[in-house]
Amino acid sequence: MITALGRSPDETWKELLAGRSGIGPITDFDARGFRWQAAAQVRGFPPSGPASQPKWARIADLHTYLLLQCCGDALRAAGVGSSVDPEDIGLFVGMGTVDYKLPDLVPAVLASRGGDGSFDHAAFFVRGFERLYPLFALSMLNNVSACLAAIELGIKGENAVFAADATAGAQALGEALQTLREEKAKAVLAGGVSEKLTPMSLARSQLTEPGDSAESAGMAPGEGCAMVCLELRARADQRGARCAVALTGYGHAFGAAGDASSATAAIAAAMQAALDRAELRPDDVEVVLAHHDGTAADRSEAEAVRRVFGASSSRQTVCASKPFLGHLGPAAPAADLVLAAQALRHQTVAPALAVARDVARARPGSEERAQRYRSVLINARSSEGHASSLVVQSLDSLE
Amino acid sequence: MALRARRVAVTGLGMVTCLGRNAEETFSRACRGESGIDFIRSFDTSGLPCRIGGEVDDAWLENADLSRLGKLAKFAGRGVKMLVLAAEEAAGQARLDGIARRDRVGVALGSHGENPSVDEMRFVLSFYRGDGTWDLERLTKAGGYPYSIFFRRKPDIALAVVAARFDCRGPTSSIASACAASAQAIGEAYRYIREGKAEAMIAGGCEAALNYAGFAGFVLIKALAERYPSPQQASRPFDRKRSGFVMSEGAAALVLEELEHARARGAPLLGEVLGYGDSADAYRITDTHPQGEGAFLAMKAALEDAGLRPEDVGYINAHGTSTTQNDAVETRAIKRLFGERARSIPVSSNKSMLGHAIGAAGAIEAGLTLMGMRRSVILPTINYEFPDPKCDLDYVPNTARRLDHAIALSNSFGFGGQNACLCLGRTAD
Repeated sequence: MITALGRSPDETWKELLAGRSGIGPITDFDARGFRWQAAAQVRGFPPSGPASQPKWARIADLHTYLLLQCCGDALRAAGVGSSVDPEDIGLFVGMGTVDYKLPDLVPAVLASRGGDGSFDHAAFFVRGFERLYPLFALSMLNNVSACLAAIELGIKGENAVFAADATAGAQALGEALQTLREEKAKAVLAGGVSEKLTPMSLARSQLTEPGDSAESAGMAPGEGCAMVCLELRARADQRGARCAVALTGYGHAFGAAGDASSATAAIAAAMQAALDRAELRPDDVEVVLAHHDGTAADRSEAEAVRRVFGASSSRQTVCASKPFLGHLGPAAPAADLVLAAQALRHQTVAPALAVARDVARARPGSEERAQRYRSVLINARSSEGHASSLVVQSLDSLE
Repeated sequence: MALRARRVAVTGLGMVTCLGRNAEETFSRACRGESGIDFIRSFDTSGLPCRIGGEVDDAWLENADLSRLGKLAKFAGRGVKMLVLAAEEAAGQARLDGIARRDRVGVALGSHGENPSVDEMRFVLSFYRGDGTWDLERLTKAGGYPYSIFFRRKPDIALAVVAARFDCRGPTSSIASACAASAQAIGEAYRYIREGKAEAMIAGGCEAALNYAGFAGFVLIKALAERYPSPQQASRPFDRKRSGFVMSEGAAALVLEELEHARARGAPLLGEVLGYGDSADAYRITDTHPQGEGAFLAMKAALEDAGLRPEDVGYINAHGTSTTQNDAVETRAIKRLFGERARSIPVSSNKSMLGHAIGAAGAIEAGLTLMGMRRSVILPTINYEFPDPKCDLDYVPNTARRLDHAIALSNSFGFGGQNACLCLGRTAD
C-alpha cells in the first residue's frame, strides 16, 4: 500500500498511530478557487521516474506506477512467486476516471487556429488532428494500467477492471473473493488505485454534494493505491504462507443518489449482505470503518449503521480513514482493508483512525472500547448511489 | 459444486445497432448478410484515410425515455441513451417490472464514458492568449473542459442511469475493459445470480465513440480499415484482404435471471448463460499474444466453468475484428483448443456486418448468438472472398446457414490483452 503517509502498510500505520495526517497544501499547481486547496498527495513517486519504461511512459501516469508498485509488493509479501502458474493468478482492480492530458490535445488545438485566432473546424479536420497524441484515446481506457501490471508481473488469470468510485475498489475485492471460492484462481491480486490529483480531478471532486454544515463539507482528495493478495486459507496454510486476516464477506446494493431513504436502504442492504456472507451477526462486529466522505450522505450511512446494528450498536467503534488519508476513491476499500488488518493485528484503532463524526452520531460517544477486536466491517459508496461493504476477520476468530 | 444448482437464463434481450433499432431488426438484417457500415455523416471526415463507420440513426435515440431520471437525465450522453433503449427492450420482454423485490435486481454494464469532443478542444483554445501564452489560471479553474460533461465522461454513469431508470436496487458493477467490457459485464452478472446475490440482472454495455476526436485517435494508430472498394466491403474478418477494423457504435442489454425464478413467473426463456471465462495476455499493451495464449485460456475457462468439453460446442461467435493480427491469432487459439475438430465448427464474425462497437460489441454479439441458437441460424461472415492461409476455419462465408446448434462460445478480446468468453446455451431446459 502506498499513501501520502507511507510507502508500505507499516509506514502508513506508524504515521497514523502518531496521529499524523497526510493532508497538506497542494503545491503541484495553483489550487486557489477550488473547494480544496489541500489534499493527501503521494509525493516523489515513482522514485526512478517514467523514463525507465519509455515504451509506455506516455500512456502511464501516477496511478499506473502506484498500481505496478503495489501489485509487485503484494505478490512479494505473499510469497506467491513461482509457486503458482501465471494463468492461476487473477487481477481485479478498481480504477478511477482516467482523463486525457492537456498536452496530448494542445498541439492539435494550436494547429487548428483560423486567421483570427479562433478554433477553425476545417483546419482541425484537415491538419490539426494529426497533432493529436496518437495514443490519447487509448491512454484514457481504464484498463490500460491493469494490463500493464499483468504484463510486468506475468499475470494471465481471471481479471477485470471496475470503475470509477470507491465501490469499484470494493467490487474488485468482492469479485476476487468469489473467484477464489469458485476455485477459478489460486491467488488473486485485488484492490484499487486513486486518480492522480490534477485540476481536472479536483474539479470533478467538487461535483459531489457537500453537506449543509462545516462538519459535512466534503473530504479532501487523496492519492494512493492498495492491493492485497488473496488466497483460499487452506491453500495458503498448505504452502506455509503467513496470513494477515481473512476477507469473509462482501455485499453491495444500489439506491438512487439524492434520495436519502434510498441511500440509507442501499447502504444497510450492502452491510447486511456482507454480514450474511460472512455468517456473522451484527454484534459480532467490533469496528466499522465507515465510508465517511464528509458529504450529506454520511447521515444516510449513520442511519444505516443504526438500522443494521440496532440495539447492539453500542459495541461498535465507528472510524474512518479519510480524515487522514484523504478520499482515495477506488483505492479506499482496499486501503481500509489493510488498515483493518493492522487494527486486528495491533488490537487498536485509535488514535490511528478518526472517529467519523457524522457516522458516529449513529451512537453518540463511539470512542474506542476496551475489547478484543475480531471483525471489521468496511463501507464504501459512490456519489451516484452504489453501496458496498466488506467484512474482515482476524484468523483466530475463525478457529 | 453447490453453486451449480443456480442456473442463469436469459429472459430479455435488446439492442440498438447500426443495423437496426432493436434486436429483431438487427438480427433480420444480419441474417440477410446486410452491412450497417456507410460513410460517416455525423462529422466531417475529409482528409482522413478512413471515412466510414457504423452509425446509429439519431432519430432512434429520441425514443429513449429519460423522464424518470431527474437530474441524472442530463448526464445521459449518446451511448447511455442507446443503452436505455436497449434495456427498455430487454426489460419489456422479460417483464422485469413484475419482479417485486427490486433489491434482488441488479445491473452490470461495460462502458467507458464519453470521449472528448472537438468542441472541448475549441473550449481549450478559448484560454489561449494568442501570443504563445495561455491563461493557465482560468484553464486550471475550468478543469480543462466544461463542467457539464464531467459526469458524461465517467465510466459508471451508464450504470447509475440504468439502475435508476429501471429501479434496480441490487448489486451493481461497472466494468471498463475496452472491447471485452460488456462481455465481462454479462459474465459478472451471471456470477452474481449464480452466487445468489441477485435473482435478475440487466447486463450489457454501450459505446458511442464515433466522434471526430475518438475516431482520429484510431486513425492515427492505423487500426482502422483504410483500403475498401465500398464502405460495406471494408469489414472483412478472416479475409486475406482485410486491412483493419471499422468502428461502430451501439448498445445491447440482456436480462439474466435465475432459471427457477424465471420459470415461476412465466418469463420467456431465450437461452442460458452456461459459463464464463476471462484471462490476460500479459504480453504487450498494443499487440495480442502471437500464439493466442489469452484467447485460448479464456475459451478454455468458459468451457470448464460450464462443465462442458470442446466437442460440445456447435458454434463460435468470433471476436473477428478484421485486423490482420486478431483474426490470425484467434484462429490459432481456436485450433489449439479444438484440435482437429476446429475446422468443422462454424466460426463467424458479426463485425463483418456491424463493425466494431468496442465496449458494446460483446453484449451485441452475445445477443445475436442467443437469437441464432433459438432459430437454428448461424449468422454469416460477409465480405469473405479471398482465403487467408493463416485463417483456415469454416467462417460461414457470406450467407447465413441453417444449422441446429445448442451450445456456442462468444469471444471478446480487449485492447491491452483482457479476454472474455461466454458459453451460451440454446434453451434453459
